[in-house]
Amino acid sequence: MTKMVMLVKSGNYTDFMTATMIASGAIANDMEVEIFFMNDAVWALKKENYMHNTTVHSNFPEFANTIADSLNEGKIKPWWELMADLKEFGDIKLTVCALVAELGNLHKEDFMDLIDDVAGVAYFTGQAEDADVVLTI
Amino acid sequence: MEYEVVKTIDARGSFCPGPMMELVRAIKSVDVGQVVDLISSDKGSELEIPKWCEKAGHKLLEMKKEGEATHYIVQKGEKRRRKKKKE
Repeated sequence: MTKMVMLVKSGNYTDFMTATMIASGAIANDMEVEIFFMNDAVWALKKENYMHNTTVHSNFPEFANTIADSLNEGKIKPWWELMADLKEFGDIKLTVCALVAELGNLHKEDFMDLIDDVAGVAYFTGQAEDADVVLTI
Repeated sequence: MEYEVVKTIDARGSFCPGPMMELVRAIKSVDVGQVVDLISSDKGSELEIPKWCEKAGHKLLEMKKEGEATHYIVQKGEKRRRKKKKE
């Protein structure tokens, strides 16, 4: 099985959407996927934050409105629903950066249920070294 | 072309990657040799699904247009063993 590792460091909705979309393609192609979240992304994954973090930051208001409307009309699933689907039929692991978690006194249970682990950056680099594809979002 | 569809998924109105993921889910649930009919109105499916079938080792028996939608008739193949590129 080939492996894709992604690093997501922004807390922007579109970056979570991008990572999830790419993960869906990888899972469809029977790849193993691991996503490591750092910085703002860690904060965005807190239980009380992730569902409210749907603002699309864009230089093009029409694009932001199109995504917002598509979400509201149910044309596209929010990224966390799609991610939950992916976990059902693929090998996908979500890990948050231990440094940011520790600075915020956050533990695994403070994050959304889809998070599998809290780990240090050497864990991520080790996974990246073993991966066939590494992407930064 | 003769075949018996064992599962039909109506993904009309669903956008990428919805139809693709519905097809993956359906293919996982049937036996090798069985046939699935995915109905999708997503334009992205037209390139994505034939390519995925080819890569994943499934057979796209037919693509049939029906109004704005397309039926993708897919026969499940043997699981393809992926080779790791790096040792």
